[in-house]
Amino acid sequence: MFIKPAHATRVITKMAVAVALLFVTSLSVHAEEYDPNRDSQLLECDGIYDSGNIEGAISCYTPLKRHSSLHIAAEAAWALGNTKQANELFRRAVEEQPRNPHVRTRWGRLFLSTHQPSSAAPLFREALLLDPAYMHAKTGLAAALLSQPGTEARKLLNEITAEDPDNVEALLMVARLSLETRNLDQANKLLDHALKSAEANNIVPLDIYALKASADMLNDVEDSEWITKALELSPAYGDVFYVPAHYHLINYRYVEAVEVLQKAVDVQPTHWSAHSQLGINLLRLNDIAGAKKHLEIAYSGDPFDTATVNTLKLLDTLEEYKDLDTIATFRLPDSSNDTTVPVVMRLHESEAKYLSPYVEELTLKAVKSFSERYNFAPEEPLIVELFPNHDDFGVRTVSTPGVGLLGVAFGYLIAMDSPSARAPGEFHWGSTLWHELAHIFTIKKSNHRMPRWFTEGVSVYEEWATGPLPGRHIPVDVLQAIKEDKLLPVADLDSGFVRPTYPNQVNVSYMQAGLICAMISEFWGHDRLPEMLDEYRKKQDTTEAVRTVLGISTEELDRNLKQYIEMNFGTVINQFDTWKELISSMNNAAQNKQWATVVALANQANEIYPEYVEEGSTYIAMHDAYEASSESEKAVEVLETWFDYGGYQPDMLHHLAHRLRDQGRTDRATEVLEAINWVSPNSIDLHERLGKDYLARGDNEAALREFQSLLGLDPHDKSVVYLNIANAYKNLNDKKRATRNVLQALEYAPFFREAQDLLVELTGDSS
Amino acid sequence: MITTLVNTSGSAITKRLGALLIAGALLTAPCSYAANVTVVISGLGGSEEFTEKFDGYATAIADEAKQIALNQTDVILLRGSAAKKDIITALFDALSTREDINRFSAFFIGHGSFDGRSYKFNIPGPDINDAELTELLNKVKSQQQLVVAATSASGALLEKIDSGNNTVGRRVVITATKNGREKTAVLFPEYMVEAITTPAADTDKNESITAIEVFNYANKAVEGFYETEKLLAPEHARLQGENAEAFEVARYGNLLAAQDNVPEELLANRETLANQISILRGRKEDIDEDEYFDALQDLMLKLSEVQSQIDDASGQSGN
Repeated sequence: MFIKPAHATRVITKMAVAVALLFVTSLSVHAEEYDPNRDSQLLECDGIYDSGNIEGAISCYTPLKRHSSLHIAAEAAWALGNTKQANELFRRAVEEQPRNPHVRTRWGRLFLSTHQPSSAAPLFREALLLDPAYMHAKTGLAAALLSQPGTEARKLLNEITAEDPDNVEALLMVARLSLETRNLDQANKLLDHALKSAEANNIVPLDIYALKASADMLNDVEDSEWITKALELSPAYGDVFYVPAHYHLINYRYVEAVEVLQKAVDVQPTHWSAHSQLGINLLRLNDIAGAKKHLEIAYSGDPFDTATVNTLKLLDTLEEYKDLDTIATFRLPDSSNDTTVPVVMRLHESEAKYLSPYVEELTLKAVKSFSERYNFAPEEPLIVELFPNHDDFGVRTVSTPGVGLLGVAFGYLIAMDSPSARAPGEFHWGSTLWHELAHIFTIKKSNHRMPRWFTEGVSVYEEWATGPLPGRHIPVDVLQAIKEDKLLPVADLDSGFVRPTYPNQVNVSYMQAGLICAMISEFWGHDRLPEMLDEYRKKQDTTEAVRTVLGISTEELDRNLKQYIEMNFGTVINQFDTWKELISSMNNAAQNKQWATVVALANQANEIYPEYVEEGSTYIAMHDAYEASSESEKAVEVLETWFDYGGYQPDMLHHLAHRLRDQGRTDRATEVLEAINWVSPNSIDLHERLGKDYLARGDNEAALREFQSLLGLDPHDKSVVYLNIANAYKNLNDKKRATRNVLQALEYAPFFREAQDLLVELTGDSS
Repeated sequence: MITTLVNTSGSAITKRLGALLIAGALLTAPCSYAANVTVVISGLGGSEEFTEKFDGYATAIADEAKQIALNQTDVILLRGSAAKKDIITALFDALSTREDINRFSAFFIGHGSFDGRSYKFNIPGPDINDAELTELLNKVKSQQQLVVAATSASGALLEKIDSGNNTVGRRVVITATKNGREKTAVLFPEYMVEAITTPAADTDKNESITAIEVFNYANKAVEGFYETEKLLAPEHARLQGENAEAFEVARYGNLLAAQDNVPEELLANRETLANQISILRGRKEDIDEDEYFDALQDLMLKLSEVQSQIDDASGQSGN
């Protein structure tokens, strides 16, 4: 049996140089090359290509585009890079031969090669209905499913390798999974096996070389012999760099990824996917001009790549953003001098004015805290981007809209949803910013060597320990997973992020990682965390780092975690079902306005898990119950408990602030309002109230921040805001600014008596 | 007391009484002054909740209109079954005989509908459509006219009603929606009432709330509501016509309290200075910033002085 390897792709690689845009294709290598039933006429063209005669290959494939067999015509069009025509021809070929599994499978492979695995998978499934044993469809389906969460791909790969242990394509897919979790020994074994099988089956081993080069790169072998071998075999084989770049990217090594992607486009200038990825990752390194250049090249060659198109659109959108500069000051633990690092806040022009004071405050605070806690000085400017449009953030992050993420860190650049990207209270943006800023320190201190679980764990732990929201916010479904013993061993925890096997496993892994870091801090001391980063920097893996720093095995750490969870969450986990029933009954009672029952059930639930402040919180229900029975003091009391535990629903916080003000507790009300800034700062009432509070207590600087922010929200009545700003400046003895601002107030409202009075007072004109 | 036609039971007796009251009210209006006449109509609620809301809005608007009406009988509120087509027609017929109206305002509060061709204001009994409404409004002879259709689908009215004709002077039309396809119940009237009944909408702080201030306030509040809630806004208010900034809808504060005592000369001085300030502001981009603010400061201090004289004259100083 002859299996056709990646010839079609390589033909295009060279041809496109000569015939410009006529031949376009995506060069991302999927499994479309391993065709077991290749037609002899196509094989002849492939052979011409193999001999290095590119023009001859073009001349050979071109007439086949008009072949009477629609399937062969489709393959020829695909080989020549006309994927649109190939798609149409495959559609007609399938209509013509509806019971032919091969044609359907090849059509599916075309979709795989054009970044559309969700369109490919149904075609493979249909082919398998026609021939359940058809291996080309099975491997195609496995490749399509690998891009989706869940365990189906792995199960299918196990099935394939059990049935056909020498299947090169399947071996490579399993090797890729091992590389993703840095199981390099396993990956190399699989790749060596694939090499033997390829040799035995006369398969050109370029894909295998690319993965061997990836394994070398992950092992810090700079000049991999496999790169040399691949380029000897095919000098324009860009994948030998493009494929390893993927493993740099999933390990946050964007600088290194850009370097190898540049090599990919150097050897293969028509590697459109490499240009696309190079552009996307230059953008992650804040090189906007470089990003644009490569994305435009990618688009010229492959206008169907959604990542390219989306990112180019995003670049246009970035023109609406403002760069606001500030300086973060910090002092390392062993230094007696302050150090500074520039910070660029990249905010949308519509919200820069109201948001920047808070982004700045939290960023500067975080840099000060993390540099000290992790003994690390940022070496480059920090870029902080906030996107009011969640889809823009999605494109910025993974080049596609609709992602479920809130924020992401690319080394020194972080990007996240701005507070206005989601409905009020849907997320606590202050915690997200804090979380992402912590990543900068773990990623950079370890020189991008830490595992995913560790950087996420530290960020979650820092959210809990030092972030702007008090309390540990463990979602109910995570508690459920803990109860069901679904936590992974720490040595394998990365797979919970990279290849989740159940729907909420990523969330569970975040929380588990956070709990491990919190436990290390509590049991061994916080300084062990930066020490582990040092060990990761020395290229130790988790097993070694844990042994070096904590003096125990990872298995022992796993056992410690169980004890730690028992100590901290034992009560709720052991009585989890009871607690859930109490919450459910309480909510039912609340719906039926049985307020006494609500309070009784809430108190019982709080004995089990008093820290719970998320959806369906007992404190909100108790508050409603007390309000309904006119026990307003108790209503305020339970809301305060909820707030102290980290409740952050903005409407309830506003309500609490009002009630506290009614009680004359202005300072506490101000404290509550300040907390709203980190969850839902785009509220005119909030800044107006806070500004007035600060003004009344003589905190004029803080008042100025609130009123300036308020102006950024374009309030209906700006004159009052300018008057308040003028008063703050007056209190700060800045007469010039006070006068200018009171005049601005009068510009809007010439008849504004209070402003007139202040103007008269400031100018000394009492006539 | 506002001339109010209220009938929640919908009896024929009250309806007839309503008609008589309209006639009585209009007949008592003297012809020697330029009158400011306001008609507020609360349409069919369809549910207790909406009926209560609409009546509340209408009453609040009428109450405010009463504050600046020279004759309180020039404020007419129709709600409940008094807001029927024949009564409305009778009212406008009666108004059409008057020659003394300077400013005429008509507020339509409630639900509206649009069948693809015409807008209808939903009232007890047969609805009143856009052509009928336009005809009624055209009958009223006034220097300025303000029409506020604070209902769903009211944007459809914009195409049917123009900014003035031979009998009507300048007409300003405010609708809660941009067209007839925005058919869900609107938030606009809630914020409009807030604008009319509180000083919040008075951005220039002259204690006089104009149609443009009402529109801007309510429009911004509606936009803000949907933006904050991350909901697709189902209503987009529109303002059509000129000089909305000169159409006073409500007053408050010293101006309201002392409106009968302020000497005309002082008010004229104030107006002159306000115009000078407005001209200066228009030239802001062409003048050096410091020079601009120096000039503004001089004018503002003069205005402040006149303002103090007005306060003294009206006995409101210190307020």
